[in-house]
Amino acid sequence: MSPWLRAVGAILRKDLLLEWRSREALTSMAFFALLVTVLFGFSFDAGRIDRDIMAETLGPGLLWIAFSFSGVLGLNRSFAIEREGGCLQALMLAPVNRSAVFAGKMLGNLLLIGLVEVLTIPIFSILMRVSVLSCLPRLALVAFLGTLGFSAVGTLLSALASGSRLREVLLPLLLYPVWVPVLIAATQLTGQALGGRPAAEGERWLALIAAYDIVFITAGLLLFDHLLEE
Amino acid sequence: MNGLGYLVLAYGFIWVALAVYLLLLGRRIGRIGREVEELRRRAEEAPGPHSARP
Amino acid sequence: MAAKNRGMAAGDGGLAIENGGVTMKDGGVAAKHDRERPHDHLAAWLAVGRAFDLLTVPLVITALYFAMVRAPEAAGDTGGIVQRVFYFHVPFAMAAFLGFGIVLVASIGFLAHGRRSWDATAEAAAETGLLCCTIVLLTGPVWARFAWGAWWTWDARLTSTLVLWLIYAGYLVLRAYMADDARVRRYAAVLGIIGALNVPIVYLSVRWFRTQHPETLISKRGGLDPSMAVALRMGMLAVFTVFAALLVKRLLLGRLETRVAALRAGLDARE
Repeated sequence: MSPWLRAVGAILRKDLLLEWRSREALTSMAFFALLVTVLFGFSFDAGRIDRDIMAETLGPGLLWIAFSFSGVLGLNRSFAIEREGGCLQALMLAPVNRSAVFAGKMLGNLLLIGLVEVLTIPIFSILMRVSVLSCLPRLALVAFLGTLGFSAVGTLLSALASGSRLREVLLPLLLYPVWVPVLIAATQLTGQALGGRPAAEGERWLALIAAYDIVFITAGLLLFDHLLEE
Repeated sequence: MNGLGYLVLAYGFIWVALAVYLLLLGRRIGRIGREVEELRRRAEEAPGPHSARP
Repeated sequence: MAAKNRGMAAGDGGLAIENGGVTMKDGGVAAKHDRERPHDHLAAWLAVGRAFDLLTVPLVITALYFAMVRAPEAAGDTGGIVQRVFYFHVPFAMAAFLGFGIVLVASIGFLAHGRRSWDATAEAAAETGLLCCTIVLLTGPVWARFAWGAWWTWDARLTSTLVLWLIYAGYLVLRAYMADDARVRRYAAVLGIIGALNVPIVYLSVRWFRTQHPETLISKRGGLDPSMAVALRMGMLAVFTVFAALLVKRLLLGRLETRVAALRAGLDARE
């Protein structure tokens, strides 16, 4: 295993271990996603909404809004914990390429947000009366690719926002506009999956998310260095 | 509102937006001017050891 | 040496801010610091700014004449008299793109060379680009209300312009809420690059998402009447000159602010 991969693994393991011991981020994010779902149900009177409309337009929108909102909670935490107690300085002193720090952090965020999604989807399915079992592989693919892009841009921007004095507010302001293309693609794909439409319809959307992922993972690996030097 | 009204509105927006931006720039320039005045007063009132200026 | 803001009448397209008063050439406090003074070519920039100022008025008036009088009335559902905003609406959209393009180039330049002037260019271009983007977003809905009966239609181009506006507004928010130090300059450069990387993806996604724009008017060259094309070119010339005049002013302002801050620091150290 190359030293770069070992460094990525070490940072990922550190983040996961930290999260496993406290489970703070996971609990708060999952609870927040649940709250968004419940509030949505009340505010749109979900019980009276036509099931097809719920599956094809409103449901996917709700799902991705819940992921985006709770995802920002996790991202904000991702660098807030590093700024505590000089951990960031220690990370910067570590004799590893900075892109490894980015990759490790990004994978940690991907796993964390992915886990929140795994917990949210069944609750969503029950509360919004949308069947997800029949299209689970498609849903998983969209969720994975979309969340990968979210983690890539999110990790980069959360490192950036955590350096300012209003970090919690700044991150969503910077992240959501950049996140729009994947939000569009992911809700379209989710709607097609939940509505049981043929998978071929969504191929270009999948290509778009994949392109976004590649562009921003590359950008993150290349640019992260500039965000850490103090 | 007829077509002419919309056209006037659209062009009005253009000039108003430009005017507002120019106003903001003008205020910043004015602030700099005041700052320069203040700096110059300070330089004249409290001449330091190196201010052997005519 | 008072800062004078005479001639701010923008209604006629005149962009003359008389900022000659704030140049530090004759400034007393500047004398001692001449040696440490950065090479910011203030006088040259000032002359360039003046030249653009003088150009804007006749060019804008000519462009207005072509747009209002010379160009024929356009046909179709996006036609009619309101279509005449097209000759300024589209050039402002192009100028916004130009501004954001400059942000990208200057951001890369700053990360590569670390020169302060690259960063100042990026900030100035982001501000003027956002102004042009705002104008597009103000004029677009007026045209849309006339042509399609609604102020906002989630049409592809308007929507992607809105997303662009949000991205670069975020860029300026970042700069506004962080102290102007070496760190924020690096952060802003990274954000300037991320925002620009996103632009083509935003355009593609929103176009697939929805499209309603008068494509024929813009994309097909043959579809545009020759005298309309001339009017559009006049509009582009006028708007690009306005853009350049504003950009130079904004750059000059940034340089003045940097220099005044340096003078203040020098004076503080002396006292």
